[in-house]
Amino acid sequence: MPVPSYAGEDVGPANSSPGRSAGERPISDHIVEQAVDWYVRLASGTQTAAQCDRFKRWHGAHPDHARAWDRLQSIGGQLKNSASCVTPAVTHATMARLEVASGRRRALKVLMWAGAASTGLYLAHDHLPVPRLAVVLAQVRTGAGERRRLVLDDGTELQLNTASAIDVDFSARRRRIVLLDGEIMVSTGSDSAGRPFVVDTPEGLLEPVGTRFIARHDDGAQGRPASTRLAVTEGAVRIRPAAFPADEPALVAAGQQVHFTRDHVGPPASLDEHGQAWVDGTFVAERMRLADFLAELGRYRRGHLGWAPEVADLRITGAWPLEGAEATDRILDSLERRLPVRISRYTRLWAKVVAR
Amino acid sequence: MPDRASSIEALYGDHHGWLKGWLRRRVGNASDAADLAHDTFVRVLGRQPVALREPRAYLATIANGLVVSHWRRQALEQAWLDALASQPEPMAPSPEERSLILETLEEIARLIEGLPARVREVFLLSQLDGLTYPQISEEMGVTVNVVQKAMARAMAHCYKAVYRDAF
Repeated sequence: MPVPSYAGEDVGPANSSPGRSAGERPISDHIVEQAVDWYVRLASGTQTAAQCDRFKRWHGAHPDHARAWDRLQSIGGQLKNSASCVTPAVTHATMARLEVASGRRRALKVLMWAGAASTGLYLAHDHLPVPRLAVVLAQVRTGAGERRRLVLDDGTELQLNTASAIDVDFSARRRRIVLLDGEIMVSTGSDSAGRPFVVDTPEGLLEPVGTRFIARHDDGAQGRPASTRLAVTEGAVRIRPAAFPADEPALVAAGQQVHFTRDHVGPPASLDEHGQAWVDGTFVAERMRLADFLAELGRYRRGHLGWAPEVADLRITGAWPLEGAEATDRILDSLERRLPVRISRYTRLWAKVVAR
Repeated sequence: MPDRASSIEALYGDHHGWLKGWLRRRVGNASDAADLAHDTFVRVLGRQPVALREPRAYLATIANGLVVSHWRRQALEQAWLDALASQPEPMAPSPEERSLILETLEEIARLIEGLPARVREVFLLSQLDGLTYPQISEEMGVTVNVVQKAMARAMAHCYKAVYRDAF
């Protein structure tokens, strides 16, 4: 018996589009379940020799075991082989965007269903649409390390920073941007129809008065509540916290920034110029704690970026370009030249900064 | 029962114009609508003959499926173009590469369609990026046990997507 190859190893060119061939016997659900179970165990990257031996016995015990295994291998092979024509990074990014699009498509399907029901169509082949999280319905989204600039119909300019999502909701009565995740820079245009412009964040409503500002939403963690940071560079912005929408709004003028939560608007502080450097594609730090620096840098990369406690309080100053996929890797490398630290990397998705 | 060819000819003659209009309202342009109308009748030819009490409802049901795949293909292409534009070194694939890439992505999308985002991410990190479960667990901030469960769900899902009819 030829030695079967294992999931997670290079299996060589597999059938590029697995599909059933006519006349093949069906395989029982029970055997498929066992095969899936083995596949999952052997794809872990931590399988033991004893497991591999047991697997070989299972694989050889019945021809259907081997057939089910081959089918699963060809699915895995299909993914691995895809890298020969499209890079994993592009595949990831495409699938993530497709999820956004399919959220919208499901919304469209609801409408089609409604229309179809009234004309008496038979539509039994389609399952009912699944309700989606709001964040999936976002119309514009950026992945880690991406930035994106948009100009809307009314001349309003938006820039999305890394890992951000917004919904653009313009109607005859108003212009509304919903900040679902991350950070946006808004430079409002003047609307010929005179419609009011608002930015809705999970913590409250922002009403700009002819202006340019940055809003950044933070989900909160480790006891910190979710918050929005508003930094105004031109004009002024009124804040209506979500818990008190009818109260007199707090006014934030140009040159100021504030943090607010659903029920509390913090005191205004003077604008941190470095907080908007991303708009020009730059990452800036001035005597920043390394732990804060890395937490901020982590927003711009996929994967895990950690640090050892003993380097957390080192200080770093500098400015780096954010352009390009390896931008954050270059920034990390430069830390090794400036500070007594070393970057240990296990994969391109896992990096940790430790003392040298 | 009238013979099959003449009944399809009658179906085409009576409803082709209506179907094109119906499709045009859905896809928004005449040339896609004409292509989809053509494809709809090709499908009708390939099916078992049925006695049609409501021929337009029948045609619209088939056309509806084609419209959905049409949107799906468009959404995929758009997602891919956006993904390309976000890459550090934008590539300009030739038309042949382009169709190969889109076909590849379409197969992957079909495999993972319907899986929750996290399960899909686990599956792709394992099978596309070749990460081990401990690495995925670290990357996504979940336990190895959760990674394993997600992998089992994803593999069973993909198996069904490809071999559903062969069960």
